[in-house]
Amino acid sequence: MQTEIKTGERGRDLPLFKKAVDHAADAIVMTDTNAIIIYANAAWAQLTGYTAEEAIGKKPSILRSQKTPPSLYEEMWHCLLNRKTFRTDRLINQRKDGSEFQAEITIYPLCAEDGTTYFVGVQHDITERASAEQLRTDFITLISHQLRTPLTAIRWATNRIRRSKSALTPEERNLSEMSYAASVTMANTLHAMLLVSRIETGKKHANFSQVDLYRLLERIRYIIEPNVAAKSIALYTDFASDVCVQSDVDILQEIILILLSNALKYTQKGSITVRAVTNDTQVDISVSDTGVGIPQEEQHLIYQKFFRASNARFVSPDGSGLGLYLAESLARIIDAHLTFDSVENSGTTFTLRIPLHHTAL
Amino acid sequence: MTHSVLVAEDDPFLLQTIAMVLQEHDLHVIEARDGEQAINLIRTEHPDIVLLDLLMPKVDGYSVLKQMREDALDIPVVIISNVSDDMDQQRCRELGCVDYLVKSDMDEDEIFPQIKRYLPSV
Repeated sequence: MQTEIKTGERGRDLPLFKKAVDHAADAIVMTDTNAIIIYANAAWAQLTGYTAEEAIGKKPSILRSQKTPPSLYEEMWHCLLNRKTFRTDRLINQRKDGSEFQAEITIYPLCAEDGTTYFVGVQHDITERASAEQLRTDFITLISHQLRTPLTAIRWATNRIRRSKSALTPEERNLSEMSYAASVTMANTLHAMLLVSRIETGKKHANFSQVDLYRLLERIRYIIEPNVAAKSIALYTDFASDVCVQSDVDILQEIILILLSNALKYTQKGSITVRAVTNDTQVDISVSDTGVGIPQEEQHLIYQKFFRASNARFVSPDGSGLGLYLAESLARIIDAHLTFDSVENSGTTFTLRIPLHHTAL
Repeated sequence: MTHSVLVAEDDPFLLQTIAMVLQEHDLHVIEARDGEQAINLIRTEHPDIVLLDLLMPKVDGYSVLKQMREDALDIPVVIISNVSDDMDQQRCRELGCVDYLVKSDMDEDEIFPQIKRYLPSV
């Protein structure tokens, strides 16, 4: 992408534009075709410790540190030589005094009227933001290992007790079932929290591949069936065996499982139906239940993080309020669309609409 | 023929539980408590499959995967960890693991059904 410098009629505005660049809060530097600095604004001088006079005639590589992977520079030149804009937030630069900062930078080629190419770099210091993100990531890693390991021990131990062949008294059975169920709830909440964190830090990405919906839905039915059997409700399925979509299989499974566990949690009698309906452009996967429904006046809030409908709190006081927030966020990551139709005391249908001819970027 | 499985896990209770459930399915279990032991035992015992934790003392799971690749050991490795980040999963897949299980998201009796498919057919 190239931006053309316009002169002529608007040439008289140029001093004003220059002033705007001189005083911009982001550090801006401009080089000629040979990457020799011909201009640096005040913010650039302040960020790097070099004055504009010191910088002019030198190359921006005076800021190079050993900490930026060489492949990033290769990627940059590949981009620029193909006349494309290059962006990164992984550049570690060095100031005149030797101190380092992490920069978010955009570099783009600029073509003057005479055909000469210049390069413009706009950067700002994201060291603080990057270290806050690192702290958050470290904290999450700590949680995942330090909390999940003892939790796994509790889950596995109580599962062994409740499944042991030796006779348990009714009270022992009850206690083991309770502790097992609590450990599973806690594991699911941790799983949801970690997923929320990955989504919110932009680390959750879709891996698109060909997904056999029939196999996926069969697998989900297999996972959920024991939970259905424990309640006196029926599970119906209605999907054809030959539907494939370009999507992320793990994310799809995650979304459908959230919808199904909600349906299970909030349906006391009747049935749950999983359906897949295909047409030329999309597949609609729907989960319908005959449960408590969502009160009309609260329906606009249900995708909010931590929100729980008043009747949902009544049925199940200990939910996290993360499920639908996650389902909706994950749907967006795979370019799908989640909608619902609900009548209080009658039931809810959630529909995940997946575009059929999705071309992965 | 009994299949052998090497389980690398630093938590003693989890290691014991995994070993127990796999023995119930007639697998011969070789136990490693850190990555260093795991590499040594993989080289000497040639298990049919490896169940590998990631965060372990001395040598971590990633390094075990790397070492196995350098040694050109063609043994299926299933990661069994409580680290569930996409980045870690991707890194392990790039290093050649065949599957990735998250411990706290599963019951111990689901381990065998999950790894069964990677055992060589008799």
